[in-house]
Amino acid sequence: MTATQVAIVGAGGQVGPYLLKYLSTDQRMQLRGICRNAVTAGPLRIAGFDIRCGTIADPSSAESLLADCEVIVNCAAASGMATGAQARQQDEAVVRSLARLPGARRIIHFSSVGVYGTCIDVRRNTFGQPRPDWSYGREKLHLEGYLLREFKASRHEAIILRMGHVYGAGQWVSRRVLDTHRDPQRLLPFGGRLSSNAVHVRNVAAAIRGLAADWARPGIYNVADSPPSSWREVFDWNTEAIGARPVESMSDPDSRRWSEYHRRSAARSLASRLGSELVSWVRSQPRGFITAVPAVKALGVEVLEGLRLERLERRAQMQMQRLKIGGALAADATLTPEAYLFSDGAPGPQLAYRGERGDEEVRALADWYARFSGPEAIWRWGISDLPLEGVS
Amino acid sequence: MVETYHLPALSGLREFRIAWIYDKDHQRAKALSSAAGVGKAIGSLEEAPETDLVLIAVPVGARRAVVGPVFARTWHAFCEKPFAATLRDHEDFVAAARRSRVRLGVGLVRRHYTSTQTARNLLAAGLLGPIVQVLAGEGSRVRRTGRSADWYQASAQESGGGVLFETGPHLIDQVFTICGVERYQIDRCRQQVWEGLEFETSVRGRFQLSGGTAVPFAFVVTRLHDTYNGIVVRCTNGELRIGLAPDATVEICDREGKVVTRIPPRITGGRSLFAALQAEWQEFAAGCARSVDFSDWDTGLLTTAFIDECYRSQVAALPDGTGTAQ
Repeated sequence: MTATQVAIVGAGGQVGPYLLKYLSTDQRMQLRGICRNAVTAGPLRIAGFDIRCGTIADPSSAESLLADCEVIVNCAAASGMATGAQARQQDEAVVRSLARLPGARRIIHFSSVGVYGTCIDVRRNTFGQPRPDWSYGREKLHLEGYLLREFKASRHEAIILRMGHVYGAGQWVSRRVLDTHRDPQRLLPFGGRLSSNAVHVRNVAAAIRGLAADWARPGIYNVADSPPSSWREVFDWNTEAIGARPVESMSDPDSRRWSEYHRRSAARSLASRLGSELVSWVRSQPRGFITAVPAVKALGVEVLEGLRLERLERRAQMQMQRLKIGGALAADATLTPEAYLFSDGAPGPQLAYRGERGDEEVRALADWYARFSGPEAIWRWGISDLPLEGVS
Repeated sequence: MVETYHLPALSGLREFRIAWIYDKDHQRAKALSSAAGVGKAIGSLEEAPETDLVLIAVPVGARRAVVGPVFARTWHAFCEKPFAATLRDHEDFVAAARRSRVRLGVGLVRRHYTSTQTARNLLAAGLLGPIVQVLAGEGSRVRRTGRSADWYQASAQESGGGVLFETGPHLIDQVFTICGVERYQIDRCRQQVWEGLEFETSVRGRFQLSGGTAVPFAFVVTRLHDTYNGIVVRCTNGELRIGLAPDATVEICDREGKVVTRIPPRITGGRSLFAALQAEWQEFAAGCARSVDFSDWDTGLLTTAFIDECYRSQVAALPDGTGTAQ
């Protein structure tokens, strides 16, 4: 039986290296990674993967790079562009090139649960009508629609995956947890009981492997851990891996307060947020104005001294002190917990697959943490080969 | 670098006026001049009007072609790091500049970070006792660059070699500045290379500090792995930990590495880098006003020598273009 030719577009990104490593062990597949330049390709080539360099945004280049690929996983996303418009053009060009490939291919396109907004509220957000409140989510949703339109005229089949928050060695959620787990202000809302919409990078690979071997019905699916993880499970998995104490829980009253705050923010229009923020700014102005124009204060002091109204002068001094204290307290305000920690579970169909997160991933995370968290690893560096991040 | 950093920094200083911009791609020079609203775009260095100082920001692999005409016009030259591709080039440029009676400077901006100066002062005062070990790391696994195949960093020749060339000068020069390194000895250098492009360098050796003390060090710059990003200077009574950002804090730690106190920077956020860039330019301009004479320190000669020795320590590349050199 011949192996299925699988290409990972954006192989040098967050998840790409792990997909290459994990899927390469499956003899039913022959893997190839696509990178834009030799810098992103280099680490993968050093790790022994088959990598081709070129731009998928160029149709003729795409045809050459993906000539024999039956399954194409598009986990690329434009970055480093000077403007959002350029990034959108780049992403659309990639999708157009994929749509115009000859033959009948199977495309797995990475989107994000970010399309449902920064804080998913199922009272407002549905699978069919997501309402992103941030530019990242809007761009991801736009690209989904663009892909579906472009692919209509082609013979290809497309599955769009709204990826959950990816964690594991080399992934941003784990980095966030590990960087902040000792901060006493970083508390886990609702004790972490909420469904996380998180997905371990190993499970992402397991999901892709499952699709490549057993193609699902074309459409859009959410991807989260299988079985689903709570935030407590995700956080504890990370802290246990490095032998740290669990992150403390936020009280339920505080959690409810922050949850309402984030849901209100996500539900507000840009115009409404602009108005509210302007009001806050105006209210801060006596302090801000006097700080920016100290001559005003000096003039006030002179006038009061001239008037010789001691009572008025003392009231003015007291007010200045209050403004100073108010400024100091504002600077020391409690950190705002991230909105996604308060999300409902992503609405709509979840991709079915068998989750495979195991001990190997715990070790990988611990090794990764040891390298970036402290300087000791620098002394031992180079004594032996280190695995590429998340790729053992 | 020019559009994002130098032009805004210089535009904010009244003592500087940007007269012209030159790029071998004239359209790019025109676009930059127009976007920045400063100077005019010129078609060649030969037609450039007279000026006092020149910023040379072409990739190091293309620098030689520019340096000659600049020196011939006796313009003082401030070069973006790295100063030169090899130690030999560095020494050639320095000799040529001295013959032409022009002053040289190098854009090793971290010398002007508050954290660098704070750490240097603390160590010079001997508050933690003599230095016993130095560790420095910078980098992360490269994830995405947003660049196409013709990006200069994707070319070993244009970029100068790889991550050591791109990132190493800042880190190693910052360490040299903080610790007052006068000489070094490399005991072991390991690089990960693919088709001439270097992705990781790890080095161990010894520094000789002023006073003659020899201190072991380890240093890593990498695009392959996430690493600890910072400088740790271990002394007999404690250690300093210095972040790498322009507004990094200096942490004073006990012997076990537990933080005792933190010294924040004077300026935070984006303004801190521009403050350092402006200080760098002001220092260079003041030097040019004083004298055309300049020292090895002014051009970062020790830093170039260190990097050059790391690359020369490589064994020959394997037939398929890969190499792990020791």
